[in-house]
Amino acid sequence: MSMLGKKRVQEKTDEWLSAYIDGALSPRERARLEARLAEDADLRARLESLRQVVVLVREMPPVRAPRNFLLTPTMVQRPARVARRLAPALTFATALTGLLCVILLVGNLLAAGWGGGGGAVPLPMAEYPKAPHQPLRGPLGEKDQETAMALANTETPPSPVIETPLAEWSLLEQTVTLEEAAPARALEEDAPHPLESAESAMGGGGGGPGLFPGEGYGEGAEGIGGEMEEQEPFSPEPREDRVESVATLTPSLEPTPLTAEKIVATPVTPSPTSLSKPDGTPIPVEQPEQGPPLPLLSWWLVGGLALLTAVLAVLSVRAWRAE
Amino acid sequence: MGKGIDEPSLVAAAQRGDLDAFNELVLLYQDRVYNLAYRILGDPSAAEDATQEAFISAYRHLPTFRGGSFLSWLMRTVTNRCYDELRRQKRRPTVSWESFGEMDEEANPFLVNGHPTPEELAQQAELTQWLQGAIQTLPPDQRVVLVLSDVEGMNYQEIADAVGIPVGTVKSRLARARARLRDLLAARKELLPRAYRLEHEYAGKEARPGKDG
Repeated sequence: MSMLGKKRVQEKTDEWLSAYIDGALSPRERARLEARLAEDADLRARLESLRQVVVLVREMPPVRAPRNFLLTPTMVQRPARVARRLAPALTFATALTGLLCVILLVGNLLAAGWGGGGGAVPLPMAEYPKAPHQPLRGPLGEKDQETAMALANTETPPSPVIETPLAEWSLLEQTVTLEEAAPARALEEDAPHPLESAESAMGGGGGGPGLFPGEGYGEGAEGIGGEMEEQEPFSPEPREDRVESVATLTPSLEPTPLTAEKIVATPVTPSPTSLSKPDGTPIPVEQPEQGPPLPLLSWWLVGGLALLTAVLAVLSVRAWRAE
Repeated sequence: MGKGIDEPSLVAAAQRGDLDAFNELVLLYQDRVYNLAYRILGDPSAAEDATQEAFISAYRHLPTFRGGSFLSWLMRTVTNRCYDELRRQKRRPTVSWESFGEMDEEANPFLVNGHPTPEELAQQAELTQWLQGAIQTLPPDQRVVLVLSDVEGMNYQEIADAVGIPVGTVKSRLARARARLRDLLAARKELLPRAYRLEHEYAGKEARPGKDG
């Protein structure tokens, strides 16, 4: 038998003997062990040595408590005080997160009310209300317009962040180039133009012709928020219109349809697909795929804050109740 | 306890928040509680701390006491405190099993006198001290079970309830603890008063060769 096996057997034997000393064997087990003990002197000696240990430990005189362990009220209340001390801080934190949550929620609802309400139903061009063109998000919208103005002044194409649908983009670019290049545009001022009316509606009536491109950029920047849908139906059509009118009214430019298309085509190099149809048929404007990204994030934030507030509220209630 | 003290009504009063009633229970049981803590921890100041903490914990958890033996419940609380303490101690090593067996009297901190003990000296005291040291060399799991069984006189089921282990585990841990103490004792037979010496010593057959007659 291996050493390990022998040790295991000895352990098992001690277990039986130990339980025997405590009277914890079943009658059958006891009978078996007693039969073995009767004929095995070693086992008897082993039992006695084990019994001796038990007796010795049992006879250790008990030690007395060196002092009294009486409790005082302070001993018993200490941890509750800690909880109590935390209670005001927890309540304050609850109020803070709750307030923040409400503010954000209201802000989100307002933003969703404007953006979502206008964006859901594409209105006919003639009935364009002014309301949908208010800045989507209060201070942020203004900022957008400012940056748009700056962009317009320097006459650099907007940064790639502004994902204006390409068709409209081309329209805006075209307008810019036309205004630069054509003094003859003044001739056209009086003539009511479908695009003009739409644009004045879009721009909220503000700004002269020089300001117009800036407004356009502003719209483009805001469009991410969900206004693209509104602009989608009209933008390709007036473009065609405009190109034609330019072609006829500004001879100094030698506006063959080809050059017109060139003018249009140059700024929009990134995407040839949007302008691959020179006939000007309405090209379906690609919607930005991520939808309105900022509000969505805000909703998550509102939810997270609400959850945090709830947890803090529970904690502070428990802290106050602790005695 | 037969001291004419109405334990159940004291417990009931303490459960209602009567600290004076609870303190009467403290006075009643503090020796038992301290003894248990001392035998498990082997250190007077650690035992004091465990005792005090156990009473505080018991008072706070009185609402969870659902009748039965208050003493058993109290002992369970102390045992848990001692377990916590042993877990804390685990980082710093205590006396090891091997070194305790090898130690001579000079080096053994659990022996009062380094010199051969005269018969007239309190042999029982020395033996007790040695035993206390020997118990400290046991692994905590075995130590707790041994103390609950052989110091406190609890049965297997009570120990199983107090420690939260199956009865079978109590059985095997107890057997191993006793066997270890037996082996330690076999090497130190001179500590035993004559009355305790066995006629035929089984352990002597397994003990190291240098045993005395």
